[in-house]
Amino acid sequence: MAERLVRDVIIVGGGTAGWMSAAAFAVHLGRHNCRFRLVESDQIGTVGVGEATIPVIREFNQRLGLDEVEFMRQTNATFKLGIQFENWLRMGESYIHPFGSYGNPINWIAFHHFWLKMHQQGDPTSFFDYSMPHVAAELGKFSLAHSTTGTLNLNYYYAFHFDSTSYAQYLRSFAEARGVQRTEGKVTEVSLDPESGDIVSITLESGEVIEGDLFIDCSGFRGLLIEQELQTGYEDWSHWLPCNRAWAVPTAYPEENVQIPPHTRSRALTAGWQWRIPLQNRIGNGHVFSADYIDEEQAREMVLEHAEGEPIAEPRLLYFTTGMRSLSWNRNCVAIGLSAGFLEPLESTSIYLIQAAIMSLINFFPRQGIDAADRDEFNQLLRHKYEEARDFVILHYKATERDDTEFWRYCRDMDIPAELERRMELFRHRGHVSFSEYDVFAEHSWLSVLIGQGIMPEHYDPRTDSADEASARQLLADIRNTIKTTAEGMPSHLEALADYCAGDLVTAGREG
Amino acid sequence: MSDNPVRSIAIAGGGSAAWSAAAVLAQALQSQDISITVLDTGPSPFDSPAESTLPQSLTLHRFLGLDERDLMKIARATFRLGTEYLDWWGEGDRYFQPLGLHGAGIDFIAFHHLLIRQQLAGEPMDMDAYSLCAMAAGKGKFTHPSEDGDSILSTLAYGLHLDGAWYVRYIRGFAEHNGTQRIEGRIADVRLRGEDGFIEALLLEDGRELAADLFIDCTDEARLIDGGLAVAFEDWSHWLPADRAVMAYSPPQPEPPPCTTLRAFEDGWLRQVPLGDKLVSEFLFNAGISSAEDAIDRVTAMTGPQVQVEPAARQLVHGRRRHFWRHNCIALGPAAGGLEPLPMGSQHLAQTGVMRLLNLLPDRSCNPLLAGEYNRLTGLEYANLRDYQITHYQATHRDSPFWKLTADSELPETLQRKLRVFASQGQVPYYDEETFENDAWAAMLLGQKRWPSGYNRCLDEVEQDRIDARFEQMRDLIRQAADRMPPHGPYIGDYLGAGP
Repeated sequence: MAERLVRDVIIVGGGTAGWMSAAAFAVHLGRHNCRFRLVESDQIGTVGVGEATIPVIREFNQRLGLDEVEFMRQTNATFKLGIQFENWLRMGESYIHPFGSYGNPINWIAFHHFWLKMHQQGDPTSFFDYSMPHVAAELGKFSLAHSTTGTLNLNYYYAFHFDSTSYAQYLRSFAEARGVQRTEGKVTEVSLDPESGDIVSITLESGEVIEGDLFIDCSGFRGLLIEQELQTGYEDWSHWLPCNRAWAVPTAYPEENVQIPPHTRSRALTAGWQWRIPLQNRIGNGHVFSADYIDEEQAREMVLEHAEGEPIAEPRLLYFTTGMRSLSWNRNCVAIGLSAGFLEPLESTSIYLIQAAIMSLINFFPRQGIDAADRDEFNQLLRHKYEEARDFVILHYKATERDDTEFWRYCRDMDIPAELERRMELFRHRGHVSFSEYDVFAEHSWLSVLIGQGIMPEHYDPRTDSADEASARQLLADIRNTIKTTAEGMPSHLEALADYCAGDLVTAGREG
Repeated sequence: MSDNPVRSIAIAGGGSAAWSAAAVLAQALQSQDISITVLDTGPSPFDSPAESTLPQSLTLHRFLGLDERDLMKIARATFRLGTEYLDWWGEGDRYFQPLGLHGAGIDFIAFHHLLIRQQLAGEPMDMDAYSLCAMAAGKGKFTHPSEDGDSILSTLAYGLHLDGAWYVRYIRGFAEHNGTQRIEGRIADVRLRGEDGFIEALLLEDGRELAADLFIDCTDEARLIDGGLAVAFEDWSHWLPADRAVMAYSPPQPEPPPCTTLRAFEDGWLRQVPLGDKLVSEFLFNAGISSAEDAIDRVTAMTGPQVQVEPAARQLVHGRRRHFWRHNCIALGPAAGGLEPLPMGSQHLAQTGVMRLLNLLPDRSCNPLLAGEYNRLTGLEYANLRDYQITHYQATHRDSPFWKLTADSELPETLQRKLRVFASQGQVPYYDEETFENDAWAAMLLGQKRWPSGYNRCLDEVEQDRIDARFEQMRDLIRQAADRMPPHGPYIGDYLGAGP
């Protein structure tokens, strides 16, 4: 590519991916470096379902300088302490994957080994009783105040459920106020430089030609630029994650006795699972399923059956193929969002993967032309994150003991990626969690799902045998009790919302 | 209790690696019925005569519950705030690599991007002015870091200079006090178990046998991991040229600097470590280019008349064992591999190795999954450190045979990738198991004058006034704090004199 200054950046597509990108780029690079322009078509609907996130979203918001209260009001956000997985291991069982660690290290040894040892000796307490956010979430409580009491760290993290369409709109105002130019229109043509193969311009239905130096493809599953034009290629992961459809339907809270749990719920069904994402003013529901095992009509009935409350709109069907683009960044085009890949929202990774791409691109933002070393590094980073997140999701399916349908039998018996196999085996042998700096999910997250999905290690860290058993038992009891008492003393999630950031909170204005 | 626990651990070796392993294992496994025996094969010639440790060593000492004052008294220790490189990348060149970080970022942009921008604009910044470790070291000052995150003194980080032999004695004392058995002897043979190839026992020259469930090979000749289990060695000497060292002692400096000094010469480089009772100087060279006599002449010339020189040059090993942990044998120290003392000595890798082993402690069956994880992590650690050291040689403008020896070797892909990315806009790729953080890597690469052709563009969004004000404040705070700090030597005297 000609070594000229990268100055004009064209974002194709709006929605969460497009406007998160625009907002972040505007803040970090929009005053003196680049001109940003976003092209979106009101004709093309964006996927925008009620979305759940993971705690690093707060860092993204902080980087933009967003006020959290204002953000929560604008997007009808609720707090999220984790995800409850119902019927994933066995019918009738559930656990929450919470945002926080367990207990405290004892004598430099990870806490969970002590629990494992006691568990092997017949102690009936649940591992999850040693997680502050887990206990709080189960009790429907929430508090912003994090504390450390004595040697026990009660800190936890939190994320949000929010209306992604509102979030996109909120970020759109933010971005436009910082100089991002929005153009309404549909892209009908993409022009490449005959020599380099780089994208030179896009043409809209109106005939307008928009030239640029760098193109951000936020056009969704179609991958208008990255795939339809540059033919980058897609790696299909359906053999590991067979779900390929989702019915989404919003429902209303009841008139009375409204409860808003501070967590997402994922309920495993016969050939997929149902999500429940509570917003302040309504509930988002979705049935993620594999059309290879049940038909769409049957799945539609199921989404309504498993959704609480009256539907506010007709269920909408989404099609997807789980996988990732072979290269997120190809030539002078960077795919962000659905154009870069798709993972079902089992662990709320979509918005995170958008964030990761945006922040990595900002770190490697091109100056004079595009340096292949930076581009390769970006691609490696993103690939690691997509693959680790994928493996984490696969774990939920692979580690099932359900065998009541063909779908679950397939999941239980399927081959899995070698790296996931290695992580599971290592944990199964001795409760050791292997992880990388690049990982999306920290050690405590892997622990939560490994244990929640019933993978009980055969052995535990032999160093635990050095500790005095009675003291260790007492310590564990103290931790459990402190967590329980602290959680019980917290306000309810509903109270916390009303106090902190009520938007269209469902109970606002109601008596009692 | 596991149903097949390790009941006995045999550590072969008598140097720093062996006794560090014993001390750590004794501490971690106390009150359990596990015997730890060191087959003391004598001091190791691969041990550095004087150690320059990293802040990580302080964590190990805390783990062992060592009293820092006790340790420093016995090991004739001084403090170190970093490493001073003289004449490395050209005559007259001086660069200081601090143990703490340079400066502080602004708006999520790492500090070194500012350094790059100023360099490219023809207005280079003085890196040292933004590092309290560097400023303090330059003035010969030292104080312990502050726990208060708001204090500029919290940006300090330090390690220790230690007398190698005394340190080993101290650690050995600790290990023996905590139940480690010591036997003396030399290995005649290694007996393997028929059915699975595990090591069953060490056969000693005097006819005794040492059987154990788990073996730690810290021998100089890798008698267990190589002699017994035939694990190959990957040689890295084509990347690291210094394969010998000649050592000299001279009287302690009146004002010992709180740093390790590395000075480059035509035929090698001199490493100087100030201890409480002497100055240790090591001249590192390549046996194919210089003789031990040449080296002795060199080190004598540098250290003055009252110098005591060791007549024999010690050998350095460069490379790694293909598998650090095989079956029931884990190699640490010289049996595992080695690098140059750039800047820290041989102790570091052995100590991180045994701490890693603790997290993966097996039962008697030694499931290969655990060894696999240990090998994976240790391999990454060795490779990253190796790459860090290789940059020293690849950046030089010196063109004498010693410095050109490794110039034509193709760099490891991991390092090529790092340098390629850094050369673009000053970003350092994240790898797992790095000894040095990204910011430290960036500082070292800039210190070697590998100025990238760009920097992160976000920096151009920040108002110049804000940057100027912030960095002026930083410089002032640092300079004032360094001025106020006590001189290194007296500080040690006060510190060691105080306490129970």
